[in-house]
Amino acid sequence: MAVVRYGEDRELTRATRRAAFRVGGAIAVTAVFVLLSVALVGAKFGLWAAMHGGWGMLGSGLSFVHWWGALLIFVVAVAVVTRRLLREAPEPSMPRTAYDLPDEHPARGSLARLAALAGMPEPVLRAVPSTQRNAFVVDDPDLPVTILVTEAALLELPPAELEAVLAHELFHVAHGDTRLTRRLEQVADIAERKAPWFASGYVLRSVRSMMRQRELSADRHAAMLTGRPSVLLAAVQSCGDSDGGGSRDLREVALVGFVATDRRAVPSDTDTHPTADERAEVLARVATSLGS
Amino acid sequence: MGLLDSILGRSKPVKPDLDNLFGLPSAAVTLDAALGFRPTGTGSVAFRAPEGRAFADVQDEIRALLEAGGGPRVEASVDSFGYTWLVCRTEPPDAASLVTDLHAVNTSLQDSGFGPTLLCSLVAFTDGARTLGLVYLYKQGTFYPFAPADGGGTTVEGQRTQRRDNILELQVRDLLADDLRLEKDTQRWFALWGAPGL
Repeated sequence: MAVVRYGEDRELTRATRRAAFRVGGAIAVTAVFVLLSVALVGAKFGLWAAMHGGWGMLGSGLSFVHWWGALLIFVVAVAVVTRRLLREAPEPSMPRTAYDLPDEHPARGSLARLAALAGMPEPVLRAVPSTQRNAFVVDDPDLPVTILVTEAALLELPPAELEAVLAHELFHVAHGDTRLTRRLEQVADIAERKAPWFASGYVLRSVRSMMRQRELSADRHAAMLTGRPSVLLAAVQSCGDSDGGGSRDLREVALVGFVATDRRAVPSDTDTHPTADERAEVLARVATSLGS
Repeated sequence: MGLLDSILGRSKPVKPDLDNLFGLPSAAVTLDAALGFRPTGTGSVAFRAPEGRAFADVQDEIRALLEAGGGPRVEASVDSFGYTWLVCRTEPPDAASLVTDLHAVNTSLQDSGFGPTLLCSLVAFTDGARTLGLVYLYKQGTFYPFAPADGGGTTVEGQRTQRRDNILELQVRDLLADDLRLEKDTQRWFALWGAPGL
């Protein structure tokens, strides 16, 4: 007898841990980089002191710095790096064109049932004008968690596929993907700029690889919740076929869309979304586990 | 679910909580005494039927199991949201035996491993004019009242508009606070328009 299991997503755990190590490494290396530049300034000052005041002045300067001074410099360096990395993302991320759906809209009933089925609080559902069939999660600290669905998706997708899209986004909410990916994107971005000789695309690639894994995980859980992996795959395909692409308004939230807003012809290491084939692979495994 | 669990994707399926369902008969007595609402004798279980053969087997199994044991006859129907409803009827209307029947349906679904697919149970009441549903949320283990009312108008498609009798719902909530565990978060009181069995 088939048993519905959400279980633990080992691949996701592994990918997240890998990305965490790499990003952690990037923070450490960046801190060392900052320390080195501080040390260089210090050495320059030492040289200046040695030339102008002789060894006596340098000696007294060093005894002042001593260990406590070194510790202070290190703490300041770490604080500077951390502050740079954890700086708030540019606000606001809620597109100004987003608007509320009427209470009796079927998509809202659909989302309420999915949330009850998953035992989660129901996110707010809003529509956003766009010709691409897509959906996003907005996780602004000042706003309730919101799922945005584009007008094209609301109008053109059959109800079952729309439900699958909502379930996918619901699990992005459950996994805390929006805030995490925005943060990590930032870290990757800063690491690339501060220590390009170390990061050289490597941090960004590992973050993106984790993001793709998180998409697959949301797919997997959504298919299990709705019990319809084939409908989810149909939704992936019909959203993937629609074009229109990233309007300026949606750029902030595009990282955790249902499908990527700008599609590339050739899959690459820095894609934010897995290919339709990879998603089909995962959904086929769910179908097997559901016993069909 | 902790922060770390959510980030690492270790979300566990939510197990349904079936026990609180048995508070219903005493709530039925209170409802009758205070507002004159009596059970109509119909109750239903809504769940999400996964696609595939395994689940079709389970459905047949449940029906066979219930009928063989002299248990309730169930009618299955699928609503517009894709959820399957099993409707049980008792004649004469009796809350206690209805709850036993609903519990039998739930346990056989759960024993077959489909506990996480259970959405809600619904028991219908009426005072002659108005209808009231007590909805049991499995994942929360709580009840909430749902009172559909005529909106007094028609939509563009020519259907009657739908409205909820919020006053009655809140009355029932306050009335049953001692008998049942009620859902405190009214956001979770989703509407079940035209639910089978209501």
